[in-house]
Amino acid sequence: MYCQINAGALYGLKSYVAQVEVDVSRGLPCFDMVGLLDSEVREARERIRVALRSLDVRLSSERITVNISPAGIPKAGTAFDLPAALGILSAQGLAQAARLDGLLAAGELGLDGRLKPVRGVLPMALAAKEAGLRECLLPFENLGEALLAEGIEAMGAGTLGEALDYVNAGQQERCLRRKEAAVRWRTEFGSKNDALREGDACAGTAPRGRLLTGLAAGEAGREETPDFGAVQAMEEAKQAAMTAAAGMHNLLLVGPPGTGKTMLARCLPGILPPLSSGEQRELSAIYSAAGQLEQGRLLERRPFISPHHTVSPYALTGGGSIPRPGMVTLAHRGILFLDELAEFKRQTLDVLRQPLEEGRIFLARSRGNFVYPADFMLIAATNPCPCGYYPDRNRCRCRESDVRRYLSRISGPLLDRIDLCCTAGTLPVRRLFEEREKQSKMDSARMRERVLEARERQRFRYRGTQIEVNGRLGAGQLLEYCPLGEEEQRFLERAGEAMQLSARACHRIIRVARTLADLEQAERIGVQHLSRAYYFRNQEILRG
Amino acid sequence: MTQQELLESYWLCSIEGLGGASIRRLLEEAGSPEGVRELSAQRREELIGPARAALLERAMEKEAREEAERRLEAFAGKGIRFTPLWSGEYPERLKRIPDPPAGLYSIGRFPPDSRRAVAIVGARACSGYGREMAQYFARGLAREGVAVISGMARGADGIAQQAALAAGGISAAVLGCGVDICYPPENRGLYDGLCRTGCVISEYPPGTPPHARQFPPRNRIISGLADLVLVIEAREQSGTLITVDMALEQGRDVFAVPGRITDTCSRGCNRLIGNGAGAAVSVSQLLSELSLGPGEKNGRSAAVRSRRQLPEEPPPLQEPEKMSLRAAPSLRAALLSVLDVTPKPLDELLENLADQGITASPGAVMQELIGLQLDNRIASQAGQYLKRDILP
Repeated sequence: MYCQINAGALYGLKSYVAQVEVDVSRGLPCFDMVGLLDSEVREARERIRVALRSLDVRLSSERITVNISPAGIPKAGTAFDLPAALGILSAQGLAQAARLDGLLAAGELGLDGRLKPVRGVLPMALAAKEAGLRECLLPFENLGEALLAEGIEAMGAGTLGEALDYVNAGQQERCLRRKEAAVRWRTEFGSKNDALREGDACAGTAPRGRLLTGLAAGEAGREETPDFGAVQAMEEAKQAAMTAAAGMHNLLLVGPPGTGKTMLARCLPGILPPLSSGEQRELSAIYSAAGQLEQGRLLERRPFISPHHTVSPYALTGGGSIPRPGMVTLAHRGILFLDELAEFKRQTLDVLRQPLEEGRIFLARSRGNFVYPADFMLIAATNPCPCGYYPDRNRCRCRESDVRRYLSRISGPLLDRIDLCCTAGTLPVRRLFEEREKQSKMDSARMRERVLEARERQRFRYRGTQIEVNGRLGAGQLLEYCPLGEEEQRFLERAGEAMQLSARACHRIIRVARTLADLEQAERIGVQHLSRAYYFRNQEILRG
Repeated sequence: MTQQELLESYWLCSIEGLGGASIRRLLEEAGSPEGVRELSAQRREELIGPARAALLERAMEKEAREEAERRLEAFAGKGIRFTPLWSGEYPERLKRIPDPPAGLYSIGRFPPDSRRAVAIVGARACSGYGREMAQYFARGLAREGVAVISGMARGADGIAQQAALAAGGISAAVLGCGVDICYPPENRGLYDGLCRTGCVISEYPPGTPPHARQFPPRNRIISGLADLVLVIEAREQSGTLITVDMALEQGRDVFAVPGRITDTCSRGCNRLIGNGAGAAVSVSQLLSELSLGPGEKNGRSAAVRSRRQLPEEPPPLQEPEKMSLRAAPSLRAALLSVLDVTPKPLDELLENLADQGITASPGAVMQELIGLQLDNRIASQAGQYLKRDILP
């Protein structure tokens, strides 16, 4: 007997609705699964065989063939366990085939028949909605994610038996069970999330069903974002940070160790504009596919991804034959922070060139070609020399050639894409103990306000185009949107001659000057903006 | 000195394992390099010991002598000169130090004996202040026709020699490797300049690679070639102090540029001054110091002189920005007054301005800094700003 059921499938970051076809017919008793399957999908046979016993169902001694179509796309992951099991039950007449119509199933089976969460549920639910399906049947833990999709019914089942009961139930019964599951889910996980939201400590009670060990990247963003108001002095670095946030410019912080470069970078998400609901959905789908979405909550903050300098190129770009999203993709629409830039391997940094240029990354793998979004703001920090104190000769004894060699370890093409460079963290210790009144008036709230205003001006200027921010303004459109007066041109010529600026460097200066003008609500770029933009390039490291 | 004499001298000096002291002892006995060969084997052994005598024996073979001749010709082809201690061209001042090198290899012309010469030495990792001071003294002395002697090292040495050449003066570098090797390699431009218009000197045969143990001995040549040693910057345990020890042994005057007591780069200098070295405060002071004949100098210690002879005038500082007393000083003028010879970051400048009662937005200060830099009034180093050309 033949039966078919819709299954949620993940291919890279994209989800689609796959069909699990099951045929039970006479022949030598065996159980085969086909359809270009990875080993974890093929292993489903053993899990299903044992899990069915929990329902007191034995596989009939007939020939069982499971095909997952389209058979040409490689399949990976454990989400096919549930649809395959339901298909077999249906083919044996234990589940009503008619009731599988319009239903998408996904979930991993335990040997005891329990359903376990899988990754990528949010994009699966969105794909099901798009394909015109009515409802999803998922592991209970994943229910919250599916609820985020909105516009598609979702049921969460704790065990295979529960799932089977649900399939066999009538319309009204199903509706009741869905509601009851949603309520149960909210009491179990939702309350915890709310508690988290209110900042209550709940260490040690991480939600069940977390797919990753350790702290998921999405959750890292949940740590308290520090406020710029707590950063003392560092006016230069704050100006640079605000400018970078306003125009999505890439920023390089140079300074001695232990003086607040990292702190400054961590403050940055606090002054970026909030995610729009469209962006939230886009990012949440990415994190869901990566298995890093927090239970049932859309990503609300911009990601802040900070890989250690020993990171491999594949961890940055996304690795695997069907690549999992890498750091650059997880940092999409957020911040990628590279601390100790000079310690990164050159080939690791070189993979950032394409994402920085195009806002996405192409991955060619044996299983196909993938394009992942990777439009992030790069924040990097480095010491100025091996000991970290150059040019303070009271502390630094590095040779000039060592200083140059240290900085030359940073790949040139990467530095080419840095718009702003500033000195950070030269605060004398005594300043640490001064009263709070003396502290900077630049706190995150004030800075965010100015950033938002500047963004608003940019949106207005670039209305009707693909451009959103000054940092993404192409060289071709530069002079169209950033006309320069005679005096301004003279300044640039003079500065260009004095410091041997390349054409690309000049373009970057104009772009940053545009952002500085936007921050001041100025219509035209003036010499004052250009010279400040120039100030932020006035470091040996960027002059090359 | 005839070609034959030169060859004989080179042959004697190029014998490996035979030091300056042994060579001097042999010559005292024999009178000339040819005479050395005529000494009896027993006498040679008495003079320099059996091991060195054996080396000398081997060098007397025909092949070894022909080899020496070939090498000397090859040096000449590369523009490298060999000058033995007993040649008339050997620098007079150097002849009189306790342990003069038996032979000198050189490219270019030795600074004439008639000229006064000052050795300018200092820390390799020098500060902005050290850089400025090295340039100031080298430039000022070179303009007055004083030869600047140094070691072409990183930091103060190289900066001083560069400034001396740029001022059209004469300069000589004493290397710790062969004269055909440019070490440190980043001073290539300076090395080429010295080969053209100055002089590069070494006691080590051409082709000798730089080695740490060769540098302290070469310091005695630096001070030996000079009438006076000027220390720009030195840390407490600095190698520069070796040069100072050598200079004192040779009876040279030692001057040090005083620095702030908080600057580690100036600790060595300040200590030298405390121990009796002269405090170098202007070029004219050093010039008047040099005009005293070398003969008169020997009796008195530098300490006595530095106390007796205060500088006539401090070096004239560049005109400060004109500002009227009534009107508030312009930001530019205020900024120039808080900028220093040591680099300061923007935050520190803002703080200094605030201390003067001037509140300026960071943006305005950035703009002014860039303006000043484009006008060449200040320089930047790793994103920090410092004054340049504070002294004429």
